[in-house]
Amino acid sequence: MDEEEDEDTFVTIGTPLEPYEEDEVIKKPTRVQDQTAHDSKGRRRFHGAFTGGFSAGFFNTVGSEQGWVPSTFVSSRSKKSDTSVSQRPENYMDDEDLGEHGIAPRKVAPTEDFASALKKRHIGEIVGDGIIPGASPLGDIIVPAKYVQMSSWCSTAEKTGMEGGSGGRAEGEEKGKTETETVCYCPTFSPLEEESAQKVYGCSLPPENVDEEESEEDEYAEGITFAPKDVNPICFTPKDNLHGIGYHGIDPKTALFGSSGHVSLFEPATVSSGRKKGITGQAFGIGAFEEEDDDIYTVDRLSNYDRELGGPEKDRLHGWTAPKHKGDSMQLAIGNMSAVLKNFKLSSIKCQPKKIYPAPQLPRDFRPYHTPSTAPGATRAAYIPPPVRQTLDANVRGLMLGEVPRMRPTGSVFDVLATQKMEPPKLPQTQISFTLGSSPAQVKTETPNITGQSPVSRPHQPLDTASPANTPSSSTSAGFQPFARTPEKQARYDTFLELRKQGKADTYEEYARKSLTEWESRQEAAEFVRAAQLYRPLSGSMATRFTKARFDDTVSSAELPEPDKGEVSAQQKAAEMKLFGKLTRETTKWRPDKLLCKRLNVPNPYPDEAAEVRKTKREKFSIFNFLSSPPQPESTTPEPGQETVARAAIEPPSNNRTETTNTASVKTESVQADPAVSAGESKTQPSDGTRPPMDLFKAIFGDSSNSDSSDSEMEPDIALPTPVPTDAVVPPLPDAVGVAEPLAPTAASMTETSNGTIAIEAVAQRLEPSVDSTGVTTPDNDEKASLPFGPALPPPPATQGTAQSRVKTSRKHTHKDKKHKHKSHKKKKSRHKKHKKQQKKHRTKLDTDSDSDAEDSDDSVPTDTQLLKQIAEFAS
Amino acid sequence: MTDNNLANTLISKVECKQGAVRAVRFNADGNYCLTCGSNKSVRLWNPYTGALIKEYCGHGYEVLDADASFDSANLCSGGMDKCVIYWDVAQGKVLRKLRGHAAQVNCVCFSEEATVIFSGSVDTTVRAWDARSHSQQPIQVLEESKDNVTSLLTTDHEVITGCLDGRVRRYDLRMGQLNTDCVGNPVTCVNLTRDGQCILASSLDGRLRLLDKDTGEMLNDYSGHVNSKYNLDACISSSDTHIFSGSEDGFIYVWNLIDGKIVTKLHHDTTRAQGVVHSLSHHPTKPCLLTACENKIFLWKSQSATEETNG
Repeated sequence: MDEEEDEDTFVTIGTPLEPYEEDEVIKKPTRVQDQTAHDSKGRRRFHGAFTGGFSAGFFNTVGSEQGWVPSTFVSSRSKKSDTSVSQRPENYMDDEDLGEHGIAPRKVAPTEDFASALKKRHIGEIVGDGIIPGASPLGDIIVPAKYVQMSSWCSTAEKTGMEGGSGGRAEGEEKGKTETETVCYCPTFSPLEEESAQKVYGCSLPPENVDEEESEEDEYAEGITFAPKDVNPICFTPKDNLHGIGYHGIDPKTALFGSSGHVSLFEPATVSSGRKKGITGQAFGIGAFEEEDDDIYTVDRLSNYDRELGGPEKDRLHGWTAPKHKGDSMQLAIGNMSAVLKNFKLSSIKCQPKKIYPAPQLPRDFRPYHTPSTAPGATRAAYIPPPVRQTLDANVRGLMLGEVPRMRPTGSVFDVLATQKMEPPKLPQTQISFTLGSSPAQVKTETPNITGQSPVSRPHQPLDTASPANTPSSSTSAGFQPFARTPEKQARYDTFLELRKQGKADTYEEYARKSLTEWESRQEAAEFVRAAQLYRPLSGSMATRFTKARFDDTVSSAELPEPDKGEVSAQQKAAEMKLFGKLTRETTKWRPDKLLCKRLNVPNPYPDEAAEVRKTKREKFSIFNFLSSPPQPESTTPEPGQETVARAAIEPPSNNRTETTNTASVKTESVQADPAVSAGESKTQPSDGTRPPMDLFKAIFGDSSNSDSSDSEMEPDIALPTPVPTDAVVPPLPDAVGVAEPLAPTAASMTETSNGTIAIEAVAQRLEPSVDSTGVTTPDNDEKASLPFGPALPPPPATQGTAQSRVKTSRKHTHKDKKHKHKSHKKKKSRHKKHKKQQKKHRTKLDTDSDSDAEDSDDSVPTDTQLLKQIAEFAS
Repeated sequence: MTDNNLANTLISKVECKQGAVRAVRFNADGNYCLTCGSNKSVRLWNPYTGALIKEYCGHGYEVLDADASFDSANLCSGGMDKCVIYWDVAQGKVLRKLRGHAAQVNCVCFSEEATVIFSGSVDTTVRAWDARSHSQQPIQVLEESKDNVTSLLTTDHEVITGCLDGRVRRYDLRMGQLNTDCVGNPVTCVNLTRDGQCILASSLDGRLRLLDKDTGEMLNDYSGHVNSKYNLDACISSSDTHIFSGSEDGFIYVWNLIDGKIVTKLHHDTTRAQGVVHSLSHHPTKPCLLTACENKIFLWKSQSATEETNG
């Protein structure tokens, strides 16, 4: 009883396990993987490969027991088939799917977004929010901005054109502004909603057509009414930039893509082109309630471009509020500004425009450089130098005091003249007479000029400006100081020049001997002689190269001037007098090229030299090119027999043009004179006209193999570097008598037998100049004794031939100048002339034994009587 | 006697159609002639028929002088483009274009065997070009002139140049010497008599001088024509009896070589009032003269020769 009672009184919870049977085999519990889910009808819910698939249709198949039955298209007259045979997802769903927990519940409920307020409230109830318990009043009013932004309400309302009092916005207002507005609304669900709603499961298909979409968008349009706006909503646009108030930059949207939306290219801008069918728009990310972005993929069209000239003015500012129409006028600009800046008012008070003073008009020929007015002539007279404090020397001070200035002796005639004129010393004239060496004519012309000038500054001028033309005798190196490095030497040089001017150049050595040894003074005197020749004032040396212009440059049609009779050379004079023949003929040696001779079938007249000429030509860019010696004058008859005669004619100066003077010997003569020059000149006068011949350079710089081949013509040249003690190659000069013997065989062996005499002659000739030069007692030639030691003299005026050869040289070089444009060459030319002149002077002194054959020299212009004399000689 | 051998009758005129005719030259045997035009071409003519045989184009500027080789196989020409061109006559091709002159080439000349081309230029040089090798470098450059080399001729062993510095230079290859004769006035043209003994030099003072080649003495002096501006040619008749010279008044002046008197003047009817007859060339053997004036060349023959041809 107790047991029964006990059993009755116990409460059992759950289903009891079945009692074990003794001999029952215990079932293994089903493992997790073996457990299957079943639906309400006992059908297996999950199946498939990973048992994750849907259970759909009939026993995991579709439709029926037979499987999927294709729907047939039937359309009759009575019952027209629905064109839109819809294969809707619902067709494939069972009631489980459509049930509350299925994937497509049939229950009508607001979507998450719409339910947000509700949910919030619900949450609020649970949590209990804030100050006001139980309710969140603001929550009713304020809808999250996201919703408003994303809702298609705005665009819908826009499209339906809600205007006026129905709460719609004004047309022109921009979307952006409305987005932030707070809007109250009260949605009411309409029965239509269910039908028209097209549900989307999973990824949404692209909208099928416009109507459908629009109808979808319009889902709220019909049932929704909006309260009219009674208050103008104030929009606050946060200022997030640093621009000024009211300033807008260029709106890139309108600027880049045009003001209206995207339309296809080339089409005229239609107002609203409905979208075509097909797949358009974005692929991802756009939900049903999202608004489309503005055009990302811009389609440009031609109407964006201004294709007209002067068409209607477009607004090119694109929202930019910058000052417009800057160029037009200030007023317009201001007007524009006021239009832009809404909150500002145009001032009624006009500002006075700034007065601008224009820059002065420049004269047309104005040049922005300052040219000091030191030009000679008229401008100079007008120029009044500012009073400058000057260091006055004794003369000037004396002048100011009215003393008669003492003249330095210059040896000029004008000195005497000036002193005589000055005898009654008057103050204004004394200034003028102070002009040393200037001619009286110049003094007169200068008188009116000095009126406006202070007497102090004036007296210096004549000294400085005294042109070398006016003082022909003065070789003072005014401003040109070759020995500026050693002031003592420069001082001695100045005194030397002074002495020379007075014609007492010989006395210099005595003067110098006070401070120097005898040898030194002699050396220095020689140096000074050279220097005086070289460093003449530049204007003087240049003057020899130019003639005065006969016509003004402005005169366009100047007739060619008659050739100056004085400048006509002897040849031309002879030609004018129709004395053609010897007077007009000049014969020089000319070496035809070996190849030229070959081509013309002519034996080479200089079989040995041709090679040498050729060789020098080959060396195109050699230094020797610039040193190449010009062709030497040659006698008309190159027969060796005449050379002995010619040589005799060398010692007295003779005209080698008319006479049968051998230039080979002439060359040796000049060459012999050269060592003195070449030894010492290198530093003072690098580009002297009488440069040593090519072979000297070659002997020094080139390889010695060339110089070994000695022939009759070249022999003297090779022997040139004799001072260099290379006894093995060339014996020294002084023993030439003894040397002639050993040399002769080589020369003879190299040349033809007929020329053997030449070779010996040539060696013998080398001796003579030294004998000659010692015999002559010019200050120049004295220097020769000391030739290897220091700076040497210009070559002595040994023969007329040398002078002439140099004339040739200079001519040759002028010719080359045209090609090389070598300045040194040009200088050289002028120096040549100087040398020549001096030699001529010397000769006039020295030529006591005037040769009867001495004819007119090359450059001295013979007078007509001289010419006649010559003619008479020729006749006889 | 003289008139029979003197080309004084105008036979024909040929309009060359190559601009101004700068020079007209007989070839070596006198059957053809060359004209140098200002249209950059050289033309080869048969002057007797007026037939144009060939045209040689290749110069870059006006052609100033041309010469035909002794065998008429080659031509040389020089012009204002500073080039000397060595032509092949038959093919009309440029065999060599020799550049080297620094200024326009006034005159060109073959050596006797056409192995060397000599060219004289405004750059004061005479260049000897090798026609036998392909070298572009001249064999030798004669730089003795001081001015524009206007005229040039060669013999078997000499080169004679006339220069605006008033000198006639004779380069003697055999002797290896240069004889410079001063004429005193700018020399525009040099010529050699057929016997090779005398040089005829025309100069800008309106005179022609006949100089003895060996001594340089003046043998005769011819004047009367007008020559002060232009580079006018002169020539000597084939029999060395007459001297012809162009003139600036539209005439050819003919002098007797011996007595120096004007024998006749050959008038050229030119478009201008005073056309300049600047180039002329005498037949090497016959009394036949070619002159060039403006754009035409004129053929002159002796009276007897015309009668022969007519009859």
